[in-house]
Amino acid sequence: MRVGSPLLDLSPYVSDEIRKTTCYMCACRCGVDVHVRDGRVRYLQGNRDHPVNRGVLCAKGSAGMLHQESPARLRAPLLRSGERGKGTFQEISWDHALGLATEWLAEIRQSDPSRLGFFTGRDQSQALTGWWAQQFGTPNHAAHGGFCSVNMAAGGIYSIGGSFWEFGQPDWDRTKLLLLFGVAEDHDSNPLKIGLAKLRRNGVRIISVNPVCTGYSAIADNWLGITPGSDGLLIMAILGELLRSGSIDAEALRYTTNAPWLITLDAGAHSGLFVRDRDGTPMIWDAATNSPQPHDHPTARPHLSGRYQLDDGRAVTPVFTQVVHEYLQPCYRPEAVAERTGIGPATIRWLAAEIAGTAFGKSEDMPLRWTDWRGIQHASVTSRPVAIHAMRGIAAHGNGFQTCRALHVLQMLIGSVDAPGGTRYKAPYPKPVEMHPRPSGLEGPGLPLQGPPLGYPLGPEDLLVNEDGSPQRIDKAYSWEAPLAAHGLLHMAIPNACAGDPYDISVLMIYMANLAWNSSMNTPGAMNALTARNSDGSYRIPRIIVSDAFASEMVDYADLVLPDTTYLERYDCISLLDRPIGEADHVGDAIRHPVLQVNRDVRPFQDVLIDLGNRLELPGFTDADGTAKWSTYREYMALHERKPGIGPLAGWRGADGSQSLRGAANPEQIEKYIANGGFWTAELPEETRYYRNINMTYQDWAADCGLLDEPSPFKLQLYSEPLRKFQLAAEGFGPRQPPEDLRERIRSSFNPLPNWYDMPASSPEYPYHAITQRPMAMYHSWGTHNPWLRQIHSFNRLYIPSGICDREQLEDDDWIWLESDFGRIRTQIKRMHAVNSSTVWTWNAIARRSGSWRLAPGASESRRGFLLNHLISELLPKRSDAQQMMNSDPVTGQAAWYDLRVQIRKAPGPKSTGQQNAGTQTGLPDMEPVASQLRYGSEWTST
Amino acid sequence: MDIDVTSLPTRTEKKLGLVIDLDVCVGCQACVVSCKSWNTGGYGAPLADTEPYGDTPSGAWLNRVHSYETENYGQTGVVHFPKSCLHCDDAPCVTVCPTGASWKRSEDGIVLVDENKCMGCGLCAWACPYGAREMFHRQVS
Ligand code: SF4
Ligand code: SF4
Ligand code: SF4
Ligand code: SF4
Repeated sequence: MRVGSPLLDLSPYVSDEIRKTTCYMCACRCGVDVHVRDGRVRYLQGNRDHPVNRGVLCAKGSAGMLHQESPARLRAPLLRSGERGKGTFQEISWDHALGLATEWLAEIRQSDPSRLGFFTGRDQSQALTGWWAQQFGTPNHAAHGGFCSVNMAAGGIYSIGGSFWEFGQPDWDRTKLLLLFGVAEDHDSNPLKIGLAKLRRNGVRIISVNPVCTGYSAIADNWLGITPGSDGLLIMAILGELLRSGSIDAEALRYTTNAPWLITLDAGAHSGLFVRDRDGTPMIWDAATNSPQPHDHPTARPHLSGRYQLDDGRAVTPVFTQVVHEYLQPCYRPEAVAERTGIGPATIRWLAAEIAGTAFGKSEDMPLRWTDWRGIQHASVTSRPVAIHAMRGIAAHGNGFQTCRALHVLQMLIGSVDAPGGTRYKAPYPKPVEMHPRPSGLEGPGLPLQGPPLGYPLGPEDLLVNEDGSPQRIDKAYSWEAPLAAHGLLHMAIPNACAGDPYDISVLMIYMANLAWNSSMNTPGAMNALTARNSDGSYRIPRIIVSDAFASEMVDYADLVLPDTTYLERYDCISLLDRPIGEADHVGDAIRHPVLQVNRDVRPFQDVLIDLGNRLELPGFTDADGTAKWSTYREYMALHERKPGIGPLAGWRGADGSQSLRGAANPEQIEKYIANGGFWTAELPEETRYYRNINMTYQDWAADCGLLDEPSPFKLQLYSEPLRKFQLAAEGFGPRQPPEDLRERIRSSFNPLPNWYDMPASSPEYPYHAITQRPMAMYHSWGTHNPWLRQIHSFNRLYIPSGICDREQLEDDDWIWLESDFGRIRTQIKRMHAVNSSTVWTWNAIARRSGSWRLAPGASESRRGFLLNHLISELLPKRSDAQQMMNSDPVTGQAAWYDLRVQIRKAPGPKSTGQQNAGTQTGLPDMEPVASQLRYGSEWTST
Repeated sequence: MDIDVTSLPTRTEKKLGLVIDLDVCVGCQACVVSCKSWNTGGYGAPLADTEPYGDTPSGAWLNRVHSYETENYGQTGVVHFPKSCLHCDDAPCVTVCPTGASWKRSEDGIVLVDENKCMGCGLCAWACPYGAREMFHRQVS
């Protein structure tokens, strides 16, 4: 039989219009072309012109249209009508909702603004939310960084005035070796994939250090399955090897870091602090004049070693002698660290040799004219082609801050910071820690804070503690328990508010943070705390306001729900004041704008926040006579000026839109962004692109164009004086003293040179480490109600190394009890080889509370999904002195969720995770019906 | 041009296919989701899903990524293997199809399904050695 070849329409009609905005299916900020057809999304495509993703769109981003049409979208403001946590609400009008919120907030603003706790999640409007908190006058504000990766940010800022991800990136074009530490599908997402592919195709070696071999590790040339919590030990062993073999860049150390700065050796209040001249400038020992000179002396040749005596008799030595002393200690020899790291001595030596061989053996001179901080002109830059990228795997430990610092010390030793081929700053970085603000504390009733609530302390004098040393913030950030808590401690807000420790609050306002589920340690504890009552029956946390776009687990615990829009329905601002989209060679920022019409009675939270600011007549939001400055976030984005000429958006400033970075507000600015695809960028001139901390060509250019207030060259901080100041306080010096029971903890964790300490020894009953990895197709809680993404991950298993399986007699698909010293959960297992031999792991953020996010109560996410959060306490076990410390990094307060230790028991019985005993969430009123079948796009198909 | 049911063109002018570099595939599933979102509303029938918010969601996809563990001289690792249609030279999904719905284009070697001729017998999905052809059974209410 013969039949005709069918006629095919090879170019079917796609969409009515393409609208370009910024994706928000995760925090990576890729540009997306939204194909709109009949007012709905026909297709989502990466924007090829966008500097972040250059056309690449990930699985999450590609599934955004189902996020947009989720039946879990909230539809109208809700007021709790039954008991809290039972999901009983009535719909109310926005006037009613905002009136209530204003009433609650106005009362505490006039009596004690710190009775408001305002915490946000994976939010990118921190420039607005933080500023709102400041104007309201509460110090109790933070986003989710303390739960996520503050160690990475703070470790970087205190060391090099930059960091990884948002503040720095590998030099993908020139690097000859990439080291990844603790990177799964973290941040960046698409840029990392693009970069890794480039390196593979260029034949560049990629070495991934991670307990588990997933995504990025899978394509690395070498995967090193390290034991969790020991990355710092491995890095310090490498430092020792580099020092022992002399594989260091002495010139870079001498002229770009504080390696030659003199520190006082004598005991006393100044011991270990920098020697300073009368102007306060740190000093070096000049070889030419054999005398101490300010470190920025243009012709001095500083010594890196030796011991000297000052005229006043003080014995002093350069920082570098301490570096050598620290890392040549026997405890950091490869043989000594092999057992704890799980990486053999030969491998460690090979790793150090690869780094040294590449940094120095494959370096090249690139012609480029630039002037350094001494005024010396250079005709070239020298590459140090070893790049490093690191993320949560090293950050989310109780020793994460020092581990992150150690990585930066490694970069400084080989001179690769912002060198060609190294890890380079992303504009507007670098910014040394001094250039960042200090945290601001409570001023009093009716008063705004003097500055932003979050900042970077330089010593004990900047802590937010009372006379008696007790914390001023509800999350205890900037207290002696978490002194450098640059992102706050989201994970402590609810437990502390419930315990009234350090005090009671009246209103908890939560935006885009799923604290009743996956964004808390000790999920059951958080759920209990949200409903805990006083003896008179009133709630421990009197009022809870939640803004979310979806029926998340958290929404059930609200008294008042302010329903948010989706990312395709609102304005957002990815700002230089916050977390911009700069890259190594350009500065940039971006917006989101409504590409779809809102079809529910919901409002963007940013608009709501501005409305509340106006109703409360907060300073900054209203003029002296109470007149509102802006009625919408869109107006604020274009018209707000943080400083004269500096606003949320840097592009198209000035009345005619001709200025960048600095210039008068431009009412037409947003149209310009939309016309340009939702973003703005400006190239850095070539001679400003390297060694920016000491590159005067950069510093002058940056000051000229408004990126910096003034040229401020600075040295990289191998040795951190702020840390030493805390240590001195712990040693008994200075007016501000830590409580007795914290002295030893501060002394041992605030070493001015990164050191390694292990977590408190866990009982031998819990022999295994347990960690999570982020799946590439899922982002926190957002992806799980997306029908396409949930088909990729609708449940998770515990992956167990074969050795443990053999020992515990486990087979694939067996059910087990996974137990920590805090709790136990049932999980189904799978055997795996490519994982550290003492580590079990699973994908994070897949499990859902039954009935949440409009999933069926029996959804596989609830029956077969589990979170490790249920096993992790926010507090460490009681110490011998009965004190209970936070389960957080002692320096920054970063949640130490990767320190979890577990044991495994075979579990006969029901084949279900049993929803982790969290009960079933009941439906909210008047939600959209849930479809039993999805035929997305059927109206646009031919049949 | 006329073609024989169950037969392949004797030669094709070109042999188009999709090249996937396994050396850089990180298993991100972007190709999987993007393909579905493009094709579900593009032509023919939507790539539907049952129980999208229910106990066990499932749906029609044109490709999937499978992950395997590997061992190489004692070094363990993971390989991600995206499986989409390879547009085989000797496409068994074509030769097995009783209606001629599954066919190979002689111009470029692309293998396609003409939904107007497909009777849903599932033979092609059974015959495809790569699991690239999937059946999606929808209840007609
Ligand atoms: S990585 Fe994916 S989800 Fe995240 S912003 Fe980019 S496209 Fe969107
Ligand atoms: S899964 Fe698909 S999109 Fe992702 S890296 Fe592999 S081939 Fe590319
Ligand atoms: S569907 Fe399967 S058998 Fe047919 S061409 Fe594609 S890969 Fe080959
Ligand atoms: S299911 Fe359709 S395309 Fe496949 S063999 Fe049967 S008739 Fe042919």
